[in-house]
Amino acid sequence: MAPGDEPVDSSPAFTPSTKFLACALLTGLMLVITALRGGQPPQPSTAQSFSPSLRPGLSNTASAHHPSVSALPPSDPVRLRVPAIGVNAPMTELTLDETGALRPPPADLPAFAGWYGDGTTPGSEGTAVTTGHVDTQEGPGVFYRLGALAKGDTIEITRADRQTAVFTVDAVELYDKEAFPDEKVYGSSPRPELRVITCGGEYAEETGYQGNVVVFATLTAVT
Amino acid sequence: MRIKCAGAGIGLVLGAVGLSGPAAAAASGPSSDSGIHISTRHAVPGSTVRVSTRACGSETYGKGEAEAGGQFHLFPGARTGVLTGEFQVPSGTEPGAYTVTLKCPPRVKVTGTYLVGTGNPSGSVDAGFGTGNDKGTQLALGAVLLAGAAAGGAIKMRRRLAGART
Repeated sequence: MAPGDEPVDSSPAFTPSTKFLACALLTGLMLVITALRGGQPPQPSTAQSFSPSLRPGLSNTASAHHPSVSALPPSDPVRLRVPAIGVNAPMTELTLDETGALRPPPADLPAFAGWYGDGTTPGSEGTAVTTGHVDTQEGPGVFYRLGALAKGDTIEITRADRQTAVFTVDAVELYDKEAFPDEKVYGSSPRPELRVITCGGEYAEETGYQGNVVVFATLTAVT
Repeated sequence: MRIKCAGAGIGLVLGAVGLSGPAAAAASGPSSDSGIHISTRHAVPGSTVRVSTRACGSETYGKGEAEAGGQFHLFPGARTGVLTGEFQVPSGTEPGAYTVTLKCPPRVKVTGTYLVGTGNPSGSVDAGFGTGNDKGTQLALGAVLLAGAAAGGAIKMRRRLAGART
């Protein structure tokens, strides 16, 4: 270099800024960590299943420990909230397919919870049935964390008549789809009860989820 | 569809000879040929079942009798040559397969089967797809970014050291 000249910057045109590097580092770490962790929805522990000596509909239900609440007249449900797992979902009516199986909400409405429209309305006497997706191709669905519910958690369903039926969880069970207990889940009941169903259990690419997570709950309050 | 056509064929034959053959008809489900068409594959107690037939030709009246549903009339509907009628499944009807018989002059008689369910859902619910997380791609992309960040960091360090030396 000749004296008096500016020092030549010998570095190439692109020098990554610290900010850019930090972003790349963080993003890279996140991707690697989530890939390794696997991202499976939470599954119910055996502590949340029915006590072995008792069946649903008997004195082990939450309503046995609460002052009795009268059943509500029929009214379509509009909104479903599960505070313990941060669910606040609009509701849509569902039908049965030709085999009698309950159709879930459409795949393009993963944030909706559905209810069986020809059955009991939530809050009325009988067994109201609701279901929603645990996940879709794009990511978690409305009931991704349903398996994390515990006995005593509440599910609140607001109806078209502006009353909110509050149900308390009696049990959370996992059933094999091949051996699904129809009577236990869908069978009628003399009290206002609720079932919330989503997929769960082992997942395989070819066959999908092997089981259903089923939450059993009883009406304990009306607000 | 093959099974349905075969069953419809059987239903027609059985109907033509006046036999009800519930087992065969039940295997095929409600048939959709000119003999008899039943609208609801899975009726429930309290629901209405609609029945239509082309078997009465140009006749304008037919009589129907549904096991568990009682008697009903068939009248011409919107389409020519088709008589339609309906009946209600009484609440409290036990689940099972039931026969419906249609008669019109001079001596036409066709039968079909409808199924009454409990009205409750049955079986598991298909409510999940498995998140499309392609773990392999995520891992690869993450590794590339980490490697890039490491390389970028190394370049910066070298330049700093080189700069400090001059």
